[in-house]
Amino acid sequence: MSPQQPAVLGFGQTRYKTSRADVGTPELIFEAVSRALADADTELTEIDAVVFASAPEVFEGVYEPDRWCVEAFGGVGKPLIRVHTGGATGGSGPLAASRLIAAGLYETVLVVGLQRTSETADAQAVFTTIFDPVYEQDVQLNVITGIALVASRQMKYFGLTEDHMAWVSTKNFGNALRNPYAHLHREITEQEVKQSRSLAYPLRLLHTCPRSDGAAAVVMTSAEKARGKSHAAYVAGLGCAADVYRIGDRIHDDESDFAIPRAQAWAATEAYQEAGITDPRRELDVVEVYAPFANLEIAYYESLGLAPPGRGIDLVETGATAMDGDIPVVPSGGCMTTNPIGATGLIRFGEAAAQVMGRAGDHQVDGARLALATACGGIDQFYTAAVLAAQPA
Amino acid sequence: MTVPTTVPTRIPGEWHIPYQYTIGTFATAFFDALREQRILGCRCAQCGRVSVPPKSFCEYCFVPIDELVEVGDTGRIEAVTVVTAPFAGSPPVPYVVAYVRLAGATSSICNYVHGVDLGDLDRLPADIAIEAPVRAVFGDKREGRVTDFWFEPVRDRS
Ligand SMILES: [Zn+2]
Repeated sequence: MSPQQPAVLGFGQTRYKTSRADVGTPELIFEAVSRALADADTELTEIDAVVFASAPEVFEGVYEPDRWCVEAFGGVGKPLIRVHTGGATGGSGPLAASRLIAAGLYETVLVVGLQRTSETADAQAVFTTIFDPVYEQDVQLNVITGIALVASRQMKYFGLTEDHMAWVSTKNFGNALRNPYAHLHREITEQEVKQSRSLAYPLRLLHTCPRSDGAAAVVMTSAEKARGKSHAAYVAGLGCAADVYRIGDRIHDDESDFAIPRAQAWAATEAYQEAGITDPRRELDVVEVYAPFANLEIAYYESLGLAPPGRGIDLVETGATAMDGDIPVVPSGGCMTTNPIGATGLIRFGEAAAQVMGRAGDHQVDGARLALATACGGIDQFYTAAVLAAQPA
Repeated sequence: MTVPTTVPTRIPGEWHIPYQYTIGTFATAFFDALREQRILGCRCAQCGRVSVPPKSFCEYCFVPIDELVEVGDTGRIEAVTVVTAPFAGSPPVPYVVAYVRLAGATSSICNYVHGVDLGDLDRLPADIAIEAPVRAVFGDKREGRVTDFWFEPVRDRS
């Protein structure tokens, strides 16, 4: 991509739980950052700048958590950049860091993602505040209703059924059993998914994600500096895109349908071009997609070019995205089993890096050389995509 | 002294911040029309798109818009859900939310759908399926909010 190719040296994450009652918010960050520095074999003094990624601070209940947490991420005396694109924040953080490194502005950058969703009782009430107060708040939309609306079109026009969603849920919960950091460690059956509590038709409880407390951190540097380290993943391509605000303005037109989120396609196309990928289904070895709902994962198969429009269900029916399929999707269990919102995209990025470094532990995809990580935020509005490679360009 | 390992306590907090949102002349015109049981959109002179509710600029052409147009009170459902799990601030469940493209519009507007039999929640009732026709119905007390109207299935055609 550029003369200074960015690389990932290490990834650290906290244990994720509904409530990490044992630690205050800065302590949660310290846990992730110290693990990332250790994993990267990097001293805090080597960090040239910090990118802090946290999504709606209404969750923490403290405005500007970057002030509160600056010591916990080792930011004192260093340049600090805060990034916020809703749920996509954790994908935008490493993207910003990569561009800073590529531009030669800073050599080694720490990216920190945070969210603690347990401090307030009702997450969906928080989410109603991200809708405009003029036309949309009065109708009490939230994330679950917004994604149920996407599912309604997938079912009507693109063949999605409850069976497909149940398969995705079961796959992801099963994968999480091999990830010691995952929030939910619970074996589920497709029958349990189909009998779980209805939230907003056609979505049920086991099609959704938990609310998690947690933080994640990634240490990034230039490919040149990474060569002296024992392990590294290389950023081969990046993309990001924003869509229009109002859902009513992007339900469908001649070129797109709300059921195949187009901004995710825009972001992925940019990343693939940068990485020189022309056939993502064949070239990618593993995908860490940011899909907090079972139906969205199938929609993204199409946005990400892993299946033609309307054929995402084929990857379910053939089992292609299972751990033993030809393109495993979220071997970590993904955000359906762990979702500290602002950190979630960074977990996808860190997991993808760990996969191509061969350091993903029990959920390692054998021989993974090329991985894709995505993030999504703002009710299908903000998207990122990153391609991580085992070798430098 | 070592740190005790008992589960630490929590300290309560609340955010109560009142706002008065400035909505601009286009939204004001839209809400004034709702009081008169009319639904307004805007037409972009450059691309011809009719956006409902109206906005003062076209994001496609990136030009100002100065024409308001009235759209029909009937339309078709484009996306729909039946909310069955309540959350803080939600109406009593179950209730229906849908995006509807009104006659003459090129975008969709969100609102509640009333007048639907929600007895069987295992499947979507046919009269609120995507593409089903609905009509905007206005309440007697209109206060210039988007909830001055809702949608109801159109049954008189069958
Ligand atoms: Zn226009």
